[in-house]
Order: sequence, then structure tokens, then C-alpha cells
Amino acid sequence: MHTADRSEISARVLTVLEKRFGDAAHALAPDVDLSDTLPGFDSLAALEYVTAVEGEFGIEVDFVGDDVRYWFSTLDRTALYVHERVEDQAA
Amino acid sequence: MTTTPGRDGGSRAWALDEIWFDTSGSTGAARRWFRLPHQMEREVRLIGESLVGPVDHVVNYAPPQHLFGALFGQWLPRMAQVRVHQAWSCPYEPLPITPGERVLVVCVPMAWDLLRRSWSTLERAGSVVALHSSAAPPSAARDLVRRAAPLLRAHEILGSTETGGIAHRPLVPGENAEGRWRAFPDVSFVHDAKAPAGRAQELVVSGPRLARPESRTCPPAYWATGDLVDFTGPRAFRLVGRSSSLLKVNGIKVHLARVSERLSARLPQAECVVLPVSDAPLTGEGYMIFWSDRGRGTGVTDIREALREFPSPARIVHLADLPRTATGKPDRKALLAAL
Repeated sequence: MHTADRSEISARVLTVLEKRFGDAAHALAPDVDLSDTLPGFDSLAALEYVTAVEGEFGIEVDFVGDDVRYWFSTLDRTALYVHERVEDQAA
Repeated sequence: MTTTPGRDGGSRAWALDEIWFDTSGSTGAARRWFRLPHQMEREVRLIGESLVGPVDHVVNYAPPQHLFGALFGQWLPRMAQVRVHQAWSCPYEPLPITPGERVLVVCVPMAWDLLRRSWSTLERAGSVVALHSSAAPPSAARDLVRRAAPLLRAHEILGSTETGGIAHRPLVPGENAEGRWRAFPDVSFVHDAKAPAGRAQELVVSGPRLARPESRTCPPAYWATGDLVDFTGPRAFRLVGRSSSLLKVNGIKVHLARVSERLSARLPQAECVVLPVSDAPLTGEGYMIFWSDRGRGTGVTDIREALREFPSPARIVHLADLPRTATGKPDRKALLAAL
């Protein structure tokens, strides 16, 4: 079964952010903290981000077992988290 | 509406130990409201005894800068001498629930999605009571109540910074916005008792928990809330709507007219139409913006920057041209069809 690679996942995660934050997300470095970089990235925006990523990749984020604040703090970490979740689902 | 608690050092103080809450100005001029400790204690006792019952632990998703968060996330734990977890400041941390304890969860709209995700932890509690206020609950609230009853029971509270809690009703699966509100016992209504049933009236309340506005030396005798209601009994009413384009995004009041004004003022080169969203999945209510600039260089970032002081829109939708009716008004149907 084909699974998306990290760069493809990163591009799709970035698209999720661009839909919400427009140009501010366009030039986002992969390792910068989203809450420090994106205007209005508060706890509600973070929850909306998690929900949008779930919808984009058809996954469910485990708020009890995973450190959501860590994994969704940067573009790189989110892409890695999604990659592992997608791989788990494909296995 | 955002609020900031503090102490009043001003010359117009009603009493030295007043607590203040600021409204941000997203619905009008920024204003400051003052409460006395005995008003806070009265409200905590009233609602604590009638709706909550004994608890061992409070999980608070409502920022204490708001009256609701201050009452049940600070004053109740202090008065009852129970533990409190300030989940509003760390909403993604695991809930520290001890098996068998009686938990009160203080909810704003986005809390329900977080509770749904953390329910495997919360269901270790002996009982869970949720108090919801500040805006209409999202569908996730009724879904969770349906799934988690009878361990979880929930109540909605209608109130504001200006009035405190006015009325309550159980939050139950399947009930819609037609559900009747019952007034708290110390709230009185100023209304036309002879008005025929079914005729909407503005909800005007009086009672010992009204806040003092900064411009006055004592609380007003009554307060007009802006809500339209249909009285179904001496102390019960049905909420019909609001008397303006007011909505609450995750509990924060927003006048859509002020959003439009701000966009017009800051982005005169863009055409923007603001429409309400009645059932936003995380925030209960919300609003979306349709915009067109015909290639004049406006972007989503500019719109967000212009609305920095407002809660974020649920959606920002770019269209080449905004559809209008024959009379030149925005064509809501065509706009929604463009989604």
C-alpha cells in the first residue's frame, strides 16, 4: 500500500496552515514554533489545527497517549507525527 | 468579550475590595465592571448548591479573566477547599483525575472536543458535573452527554459579565435551542407580564448580583441583556434570539457589524461580507468572511491583521466577485453556495 512520504505530508500540513493563516504560513520554516510565529495561534487555533490535520489525513490524534502540544508545535514535528500515524494505519 | 480581573484603586470605588472585569470592546466601547466578594460568593453558593453538589476536584477550561472562569475556576475551589486543574492554560496536558473523585468541569465551547478526546481519563471519576456557559454548546457537548450519562451530567448557564448567572437548564441529548431556561431564585425580571405568549421581549433583569459599571457609584437597578425571550412562565423563558448581530465565538461576544466596520476601515480596497456560522464544531458559534479584492494585493494575512482584536473567523473565503442581489445587497444564498 502506498503511504505518503514526509515531504508530501509536510506540503499538505503547510496547506492546512495556509488555508487558515494565509501568507503568514507561506514562508514558515519547518522547525519554528507555530505559536511564536503565526499571529493568533492560540489554544483554540491549535485545536482547530489538530482537527484540520486529522481531517486532511484521516487520522485520529490520541490526546491521552501522545504529547499533542509537542507534536503539533512545529511543521516538522506535525509531519513526523502524521507520517507515523499513517504508517501505523497502513500496517 | 474578554475580562481582566484586578483590584480597583480608583476614586469611584463602591468598596475597597471590589474585583473588576474588563470588556474588550469587540461589541462596543471597552468598559470595566466591578463586583464585590459577597456577590462572587453568593453566585458560587447558589449555583454550586443547586446544580453542582459536592465536588473533590475542579477542571477549569474557562479563563479566569472571565467572570465564569473566576467564579468556578477560582472562587469555588477556594471556598470549597478542593483541588483545581487550570486546563484553560494547558488544554493539551493529560487530565490529573484520581479514580472515584467527584469532578466539576467548567466548560467553554472548545472544552467539549477536548473532553471527548480525554474521556477515557475522565471516566475514572466517580461523578462528573459539567457547567457550560458563555455561548451555545457545540454538538460535541450533546454527543458526549449522550455517550457518558449517567456518569456525566451537564447544565447550561445563561449570564454575562454585567449580570452574573441569570438562568439555567440541563444540557441533555437531543434537546435543541427551544429548551426552557429557569431563572435563578434571586433574579427578577422587568417585563410586560400581560404580553401575549409567543411575543418576544427583551430580557431585562434585576437582582443582587448585577455588576457596577465604572461610570456609576453603584450597580444599576436593572440591566437589559440584548437577548430576546418569550416568557413561558413566571420564572421561565425561551430564548428567541438576540436583538442585534451579536454572536459569541468560544464565549467571546462579537458584533458582526463591528467586524464589517473594521474591515471596511482597514481594507478599503477589498470588498468583504461577514456571515454568521450557527454551529461551528469547536466554538459553538462563529463567523466567516467572504472577500474579493479584484487583484489589488489584499491577502488573508491582511484580513487577520485587521481583525487582530477580534476572535478569529471560522473561515475566510476568497471569491473573484462577491455575488449580489438585484438591489445590490450581498446574496447570502449564492455566497453560501460558493463554499
